[in-house]
Amino acid sequence: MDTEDESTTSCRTKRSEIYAITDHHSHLVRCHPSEEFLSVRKKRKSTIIDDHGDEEEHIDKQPVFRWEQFFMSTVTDDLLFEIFLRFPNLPFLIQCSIVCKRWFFLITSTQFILNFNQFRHNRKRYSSTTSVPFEIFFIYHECPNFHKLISEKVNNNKPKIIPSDLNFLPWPNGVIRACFEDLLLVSHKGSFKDYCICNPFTKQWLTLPESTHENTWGLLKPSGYGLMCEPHKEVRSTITSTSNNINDQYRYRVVLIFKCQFSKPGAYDFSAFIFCSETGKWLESYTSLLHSLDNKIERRYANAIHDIVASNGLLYWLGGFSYFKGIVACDPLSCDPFAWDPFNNERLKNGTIGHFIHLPAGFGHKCRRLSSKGKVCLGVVRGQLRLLQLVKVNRTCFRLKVWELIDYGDATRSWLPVHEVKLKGVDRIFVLAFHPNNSNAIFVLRDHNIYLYEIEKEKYENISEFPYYEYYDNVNETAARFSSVFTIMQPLWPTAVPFQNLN
Amino acid sequence: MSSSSTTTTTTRLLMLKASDGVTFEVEEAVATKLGAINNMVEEEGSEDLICLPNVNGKFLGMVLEWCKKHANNNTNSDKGNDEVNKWWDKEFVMDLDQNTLYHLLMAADYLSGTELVDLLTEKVASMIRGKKVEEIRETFKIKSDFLPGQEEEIRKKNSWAFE
Repeated sequence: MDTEDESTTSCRTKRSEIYAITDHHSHLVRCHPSEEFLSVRKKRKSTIIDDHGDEEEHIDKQPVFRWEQFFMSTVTDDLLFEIFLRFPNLPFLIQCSIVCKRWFFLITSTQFILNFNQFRHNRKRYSSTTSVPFEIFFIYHECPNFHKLISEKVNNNKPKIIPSDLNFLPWPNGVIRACFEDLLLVSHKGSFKDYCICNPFTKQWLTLPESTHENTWGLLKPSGYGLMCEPHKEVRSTITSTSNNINDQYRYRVVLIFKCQFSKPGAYDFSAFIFCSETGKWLESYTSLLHSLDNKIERRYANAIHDIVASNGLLYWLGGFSYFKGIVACDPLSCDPFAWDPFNNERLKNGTIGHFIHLPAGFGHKCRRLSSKGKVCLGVVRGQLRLLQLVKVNRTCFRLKVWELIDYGDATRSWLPVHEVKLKGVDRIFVLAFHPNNSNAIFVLRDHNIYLYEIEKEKYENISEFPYYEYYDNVNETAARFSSVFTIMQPLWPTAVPFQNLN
Repeated sequence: MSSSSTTTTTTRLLMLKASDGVTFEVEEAVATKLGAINNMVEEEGSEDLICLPNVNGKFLGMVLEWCKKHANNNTNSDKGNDEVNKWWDKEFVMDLDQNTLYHLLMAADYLSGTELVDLLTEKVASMIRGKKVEEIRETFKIKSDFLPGQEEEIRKKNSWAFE
């Protein structure tokens, strides 16, 4: 009974080791801290352990027992792991990683990073009570001096707009092209071949190899850009994985969309250049999606696809030429860079899995695509895809409609009407972005000012003057039409930019 | 609302014997909140006396106190009770001295009391949260075992986290 006593303080599986240690160290020998501790416990095996440590020590003539001193040297990795999972955020964890080597290796292990994300994800009380901080980048045309809107850090603090830059990047004049969670895709100004992925929170970045799309299609400028990244599924499922390599933790796709067309009745096609992180190469891709629209064959290129957004593992954008016809959804991660054509022994012109979603009933089809900026908006609110349309009713009144896409997972999906309100006493208004956390709020541009508009309450909260007011032209509304908006979320654990090893 | 009448097994009493010989008589429904005991009961159902040589009586008593509270409250699962439970848990860990916390954690881990481990690790984490590296090292008497320059290198590589 006595000998088993000390095991209270140690891991069961190590019991044999404990015996070995205690047998050979009849008095306190300075060795590994945990062994030291165990020796202490062994020496007073005949006494009953209680919490009057000092009294006990006195009897045993051992150094004073202090919980703190022994806790970290005797606690098992598993328990320490559990404790680390409960730390508030990544910066704190990284700070803790320099406490000692053991902490460093535990915190920076792939298994820990994945578990930490999962743990945060599962803890609903965190996600429901605290909303994720976000930043919205406003870019006027391709002007490198852009601004960003920062979410309220504390509940009572309203969002504010500040000038921003990406000065940590290797290029002085990067233009933001796409966003995904906390990552941005940036292209070199004036070049449509050089791209980099960066995380503005951690200031990590990575340049991609030059895209060769020009050789294939003779096209310089992509119509649209997409970015997607996910933790590597294989790593996630391998609990025993010991890899510390960030490259193994994420895989990602950069999508440059080129020719979009209604090639034949019932089909919508697009060609894209896709960068796959697994191979580090660009891949030509051709995807054809079936639909049941009554369409004409249209082979024009769709210039400037706005609002390519990611939700639930898919990229979405509004498809159509003169008018919007539907929403294209594709999963760039389904593009398999390792697929081979057995007959040609060449890489397949690999398509992606996707579908064509019809617009909701009640969507006004009279809105011309080219003048839709600020009037039709695709975005993500609390992770779900939303579509918004603003239609002018008369000189001082607009009708605002918002739908949410409900995906039932079995290839059936439907649009749920979320809002339908009239905005009265307004003669000119543009929607800039959805509030990513608040289902009832959007950011709008009105009279040279950016407002947070609470839809049901019909309340406008002035955030700031529109930063590009010098470009703002009341007649043409060019500023609104040429500004693009990218919303990024700041997760508790920022996505590490691949190839930039955390270690 | 006595749930014990629904099945015969819930009224069964188990004897748990701690390392110092102290025994506890508890309802099976209470003891099986602990994964280790649940396993033993399922494997060798006939045995009513379970020896736990790795847990001292004082801490076993506390663990069982916690189990009792949570087993009782599980039987009727309305929201008010959930709140009571949380409040009770808060009280339970609030006044724990560090020595007791440590032993309880080890006992809970040994007995696979997952929810209790949750509660206690949360408490330990809350003691570390917000501390600076030096303070953590000081508190837990941890010596930095990095080679010269290594620590600086990690700081430099992740400078954003140290701002």
